[in-house]
Order: sequence, then C-alpha cells, then structure tokens
Amino acid sequence: MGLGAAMHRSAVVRTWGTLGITVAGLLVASVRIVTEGFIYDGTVLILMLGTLAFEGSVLAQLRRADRTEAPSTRLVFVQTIFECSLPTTFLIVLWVYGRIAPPPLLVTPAIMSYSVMVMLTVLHLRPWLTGLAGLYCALQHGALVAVAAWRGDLAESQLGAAVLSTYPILLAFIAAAGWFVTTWVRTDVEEAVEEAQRVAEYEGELAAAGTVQRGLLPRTPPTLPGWAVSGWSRPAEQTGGDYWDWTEISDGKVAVSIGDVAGHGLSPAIMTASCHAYARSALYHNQGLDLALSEFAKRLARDMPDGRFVTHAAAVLSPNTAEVPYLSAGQAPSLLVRAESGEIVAIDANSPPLGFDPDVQFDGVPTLAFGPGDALMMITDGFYEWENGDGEVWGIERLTESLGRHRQLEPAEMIAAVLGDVEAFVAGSPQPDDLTAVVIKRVAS
Amino acid sequence: MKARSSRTLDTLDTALRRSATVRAWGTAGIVGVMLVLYLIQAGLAAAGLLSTSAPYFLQATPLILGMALLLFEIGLLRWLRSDRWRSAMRPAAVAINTIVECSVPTIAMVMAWYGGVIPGYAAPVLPPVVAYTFFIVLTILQLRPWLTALAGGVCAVQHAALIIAAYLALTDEAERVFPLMLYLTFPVLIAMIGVAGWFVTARVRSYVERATLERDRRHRAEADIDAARLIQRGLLPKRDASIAGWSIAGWSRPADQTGGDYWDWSALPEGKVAVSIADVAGHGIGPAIVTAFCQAYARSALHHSQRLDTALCEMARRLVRDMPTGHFVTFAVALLSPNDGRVPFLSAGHAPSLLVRAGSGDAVALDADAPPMGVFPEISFDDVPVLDLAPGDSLVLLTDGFYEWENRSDELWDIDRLVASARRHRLLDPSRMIAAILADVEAFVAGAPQLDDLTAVVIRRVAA
Repeated sequence: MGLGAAMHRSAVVRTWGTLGITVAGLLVASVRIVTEGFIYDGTVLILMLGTLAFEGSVLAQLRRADRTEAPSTRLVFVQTIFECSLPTTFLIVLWVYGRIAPPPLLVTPAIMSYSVMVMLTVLHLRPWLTGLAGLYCALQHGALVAVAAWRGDLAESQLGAAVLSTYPILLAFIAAAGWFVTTWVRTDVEEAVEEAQRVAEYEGELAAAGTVQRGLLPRTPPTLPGWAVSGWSRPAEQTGGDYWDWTEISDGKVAVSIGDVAGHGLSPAIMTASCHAYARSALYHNQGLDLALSEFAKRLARDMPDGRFVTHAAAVLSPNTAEVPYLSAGQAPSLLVRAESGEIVAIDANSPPLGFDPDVQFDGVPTLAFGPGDALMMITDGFYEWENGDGEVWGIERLTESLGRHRQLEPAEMIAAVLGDVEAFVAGSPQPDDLTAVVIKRVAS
Repeated sequence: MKARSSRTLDTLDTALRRSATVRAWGTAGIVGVMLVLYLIQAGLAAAGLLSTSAPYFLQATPLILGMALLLFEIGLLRWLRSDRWRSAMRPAAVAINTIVECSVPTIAMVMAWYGGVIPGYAAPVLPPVVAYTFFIVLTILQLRPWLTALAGGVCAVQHAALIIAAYLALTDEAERVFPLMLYLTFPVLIAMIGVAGWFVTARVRSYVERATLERDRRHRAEADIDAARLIQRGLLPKRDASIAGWSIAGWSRPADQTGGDYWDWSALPEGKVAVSIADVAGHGIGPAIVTAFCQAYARSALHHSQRLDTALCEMARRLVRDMPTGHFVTFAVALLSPNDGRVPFLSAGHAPSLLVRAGSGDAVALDADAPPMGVFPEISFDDVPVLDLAPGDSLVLLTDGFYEWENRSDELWDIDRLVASARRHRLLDPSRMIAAILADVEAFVAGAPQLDDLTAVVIRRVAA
C-alpha cells in the first residue's frame, strides 16, 4: 500500500468520523428541541443537516476516486474550509438573530468546535492543511472580535479586545501544534508504507527463489513395473532445506533420494540446489550406492560452509525386483512397514551426515527385501519434531503408529494421511520446519 | 520465537521514545514561542504602547505558568534521554505527565478568576480554555490512544468542575448570562476532542506498530539474504589453481546481494584442470540457486567425461530439466594439461573470450560454439576446438557486465575498449591484469553504478 492509499483511507475514515459526530450532535439537538422547545430558530438543526449533506457528498466523491491515490488537494481544501466555517456561521446567525451579542457571543462553545475541526484535519496527513485550518479558525474568530470592537460592543465590558484577542492567538498556536503533530504522524505513516514496500520487494525475491527451488523437485513420480512411488515436500518458509528426487540411472533402474540440509530459509535452499545436482550426477555415474554417496560426500565437503551438513538417503529400485539397495547418511529413521503383519522396522543411518568428512566410506550396501504391499517411508524430522501448543512433539512413536494404520493406502494417500495425523495433533501450531516424505511401495506387477 | 517478539517490543519502545521526545520538544518549543510573544507584549505595555487593564497578578500568571511548563518539559526531555528512559515511558509516568499538562489551562483560569477583573460569567471560558486542545493534540505523539482519551477526559472534568464552581459563585441570575447547559457544552466539546484524538492516535499507532513489525521482517529477510550471499560466495574457488606451466587468476563481484555469475576450476584425472566461467541470466536469489546447481553439474560432468563436448552435452541435458522457464546460462570452459599449450576450449553462448598473444599483442575474440544452456535439451558440437597458447599468451574469459557497463552519457565500455585494455595489460600477472582491466572500465564509467555482475578469469601460459 502506498502513501496515497493510506491518505485516501484516512480521509474516508475521518469523513465517516465527522458524519458520526454530526449525527450525534443532531440527536442531542433533537432531544433539546423536544425538552426545551425550538431554540436558536432551528439554526443548529439546519447547520447540522447541511454538514450531513456536505460530508455525505465528500464521501461519495472519495468512493468514486482512485483508492490508491491521495484525495485531491481541492477536495480536502474545500472540506476543511467548510468544516472550519461552521462555528463562525453559527456565531453569525446567533448575532444576526439577536439571540446573543458580543462580548458573550465571542466566548460561546463555538470557540471549542474550532479545535474539534482542526483536530480532525490531522487525519488528512497534510501538515500544511492542519496549519491552514488552525490559522483560518484563528482569523475568523479574530475577525469577529475586530468587528465587535469596531462596532463598540466591547467598550463597556471588562472582557475587552485585549482579552478576546487572546483566543485567536491561542488558536494560532493550536495551528502550530497541529502542524507539528501532523508532520510527525505523516513521517510515521510514510515509514510504515516504505517498510511494507521493501518487505514486499524482499518477499518477491524470496518467492522467486522458492519457485526456482520447487522446480528442482520431481514433477511426476517415477513409473517402473512393480513399484509405486510418491514424494511430497512443503518448506516452512518460501524456501527450505529439504528435498526429494528420483533419477533414472541405468538398466531401467531408478534411484529415489531424500535429503535435509540443516536449517531452513534461503541459505539451505542454495545448498539443496548443489546437493540435488551432485546427487543426481553421482548416482548416474557410479555403480553402487556406496560409491555414489562417497563421491557426493567428497564434492559436498568442498562446498558446505563450516558447521552445515546434510542428511541424505537413497534407495535403488529395479523393475520387478524385491531387493532394494538402501543407504543413508545420517537420514533416520526410515520406516519399512510390512503389509501383512503391520510390523514396522526402523532403519538406522549407515553413516553420519555429509559435509564434515570428505572421505566417508561405507561397508557395502545393505538391501531391504520387500514383500508385496510392503512400503518404505523416508521422512524428514520436520514431521516428528513438530510440536503442539503444549510443547509436546508428535514423536516417532506416533509417526510409527500412524504409518501402521495407513499402510494399506496408496503412497500418495499414505503421505496425505500421515500429514493429516500430524496436523490434527499439532492443532494449528505453525509448521516450524520443512516437511518432506517419500513412500516406496512394492506392488504386484 | 521468544527472542523475536521481544525484539519487536524493543523497537516499538524505541519508536515510542522517539515520538515522546519529539512531543516534548514540540511542546517546549511552542510554549517558548508563546513566552517570547508574551514578553514582547509585556514590554510594549511597559513602554506604554499597549494599554492593559489587568492587574499585575493576572499579567504574571502566563509568565509563571509558561516558565513552569517549559522547565517541566525540559526535565522530561532529560529523563527521556537518560539511561532510565524506560521508566519515563511507563503508563503511570505518561499519565501523570499528561494530567500535569492538562491542568495548566485550569490553573490559569482559576488564577485569572481570582484576579477578579473578568466578568464572572467569563471566568470559566477565558482564553486558556482553548489551550486544552493544545495539550490534547500533542498527546497524539505519545502514541497511546488511551492517553489521548484520558487527556480529553481530564480536561473535560476539570473544566466542568470550574464551570460549576464559577456558576455557583454567581448568585445574581443576571450575571450568569449563559444557562448552565450552554456552559456545559464546553466540557462536552472538550471530551469530543478527546474522543477524536483517541481515534487519531489509534490509527497513528497502528501505523507505527506496522512499521515496527515490517522492519523486523525486513531485518530477518536481509539476514537471510546476507547468509545466502555468504554461501554463494563460498562456492567460488577458495584456493588458486595450481598446474605446472600455467598461471590462473579469477575474480568476481556481484552487482547486488547475490549474483548470477561465477567462475570455477576443478582438478580432473591425469593432472588436468578445467577452468570455467558462467553467467546465469538475472540477479537476485533465484539465479543464485541456479548457479549452485549449475556449478555442481559442471563439476560432476567435467569429472566424469574425458571430453569437453560430452561434458557440456550432459550439463545441457540436466540443466534444461532444472532451469526455471525463461532462464538460461552461458558457460565457457578451458581444459588445461600440465606444461602443454594446447587447450581444448568450448563455449555455450558465452562470448567473446579473448586470446591475447604476448609477443605481437594480437587479440582474437573467440565466438561461442553453441547456444546458451537451459533452453534446448540437446546441444551438439562439431568438434572441440583446441587453442594453442605460447608462453606469455593469455586466455581472458569475462562476463558481459564488463563490456555492457555504461557511463553517465549512456555510452558502453564496449568490446573494442575491452580488447584494447586487454592488449595494453597483457604483460601483467593474471590477477594484476584483471585489476588493470577493472580499473580501465571504472575510469571510463566514472562512478556510474554497476548494474550487472562482473566476473573475469585470466589463464596465462607460463614457461615451464
């Protein structure tokens, strides 16, 4: 929102305020007319109805105008002059009708309504306008005093021109105070608007980075006979440190990976881009997961800033083969759920996370044996470390129990069901970390 | 989470303090001007130029009150400036401050009333009644809606009390002039000013709170981006390339916080070294992510392929899948062997590169061999051209940030100027040569801002 829009909204709000005050005044006047009879020849009533019509038309003009731009100078000027003329008009009517004469006329409550009008101009956020309003009020009152003095109305009174002329002088000081306050208020509003714009710029950049990062995730799951695979990822912010991927290697084999760079936000996002590329290349060029992960570790160790690390797990699927080589560097636990028994095996990591040691070695590659319907869930810690409002984590036990309950579902539905469970548990507490899950399920071919 | 919200409160407190300080200055300033005017008026009266019927006591009232108020505001300012400023911002402190200020008009009217030269009916509606507004308006800057409402309420109650006291003191019906109801319209209007002020203050405060919140968000975004930049800079070579018979220097400076340029070298099997330069279209964080995977693919592909053309074909295939729509990367790579002047060199969209001969000073601009990568999944090369560098010859790779940098007359430091500069500095050490070329372009643009990333690599054949 720009400054113009803020000024427009402010003008609308203050015009509604003026309308509200006028309606309240009308109610009071009506009550007094009922209880005390028709006073002031209905002047108050007429002035208030006139004000109502005027402010209504201003509101109509503001509604028609462009909401992103400040109301026109002409409009706010006319409005201010109209409002500030009301007390004077009222005093003149009283005077002309002979209801009350100077000097008392010049100290009636109308002198306070000048101040109300000046106060309300603050919301126009134009310092000059508030200053002008105050000066205009001071001038009007000063003119009334001058006319009274010229007519000799003040000669007899102790409330002479010297005392009465103090009112316009003080009104002028209110003009100064109002100008001063409006200047600072405007500074505050400008600052808010500027900050909001800069934040919007940054967030645009972060959103663009998020788009680039999401582009690295698989758009479709792999299709190979005997397997159903699904993966899902949702960063806590626009960008994140989690990723999952699959890539065809050789002989129709597919390597499925999941990874988690420590931290979330932008920095890990850049690291995930490197991990994604290194992992793809290493899996493609190396026979055997152990060699691939060793190469991956060697390249990452060069690029990883000190203290950062990545957990990565990969499984290699072959068409219609139940044996799955699986290797994890610090990524744990992955859960293998048996379709028949519902038994769940938590699979530990085979090495520490990558990024510390460039020369990680693995003692061969363990294989997992899948029965029909068995599923392997690889999942990042964002799931089981998500806390509810009481500071209680969802935990691996609940995850295991949830997985067991949903083991008959298709991979994508299984992830959705597990996500549903954790979201029901945390009951609306914000997602603190990136979430990623991959399910590999052996299906009858 | 906790640290974050307390920081937000901290900055909000700072905003409140600033506003309160401004308010105190404003009050003191305006009261000061009033005092000066008053002294001028008193001077004129003393010189007999202005007649005044008020007794000495009444005349002194504004002076005493004005001075007292001035001292009060100065004290407040000192408090706000001290280490204990937080205590001056406590609700009780600002409330007392407001009540004191709002009492000034009442005291002034009471003193004038006791002065006795004013008609009774006018005592509660003397000029200071207008000054109530003055203090109410200024409380807006305390940014506490309740305080402005309180100011209106305090002023209205004081004034109502004054009116009732004055009214009761006037026993003669004729002296009263106004009906009591009319008098009481004053405090009602004052209360209305308080309500209007409350409303104004609430809106102003919401802006200040928003600014504080947004500033906090901006700081976090900036920290995030700063950290990302460090990571990206970390992807640039940390050590100099060392290979017998060659001297290599590279340098890179992004235009904004993160850039789309990089240069790299990596050691390959058989003691070879691949030196590359790349320029990802665009700046900002999106391209920073692209450079990260581009560099990773390049390193892997160069490591696993014995030939530059197969490496670049693999890169192109991988990049086109990962590249966001509409983005591309220009890439050039030279493959160096120890003590061998024959250099396979390939460029995908990256041009021109300059081959500068040490002896003759001839410079050859090398064109690209294929379009940029990331657009077409398959690129192909007829063969891999091999450059022949004699000792002292230089291969200069740089990004378009150099020769598309405009001076303030919108004139480019174009390729001709680049070639001339490279030739002039061809005998300098590679890193000095880059510095000299940079100095030339910077002298030319004479302070025009750098809009694009700059990256340069110089590969120099040296005698074994």
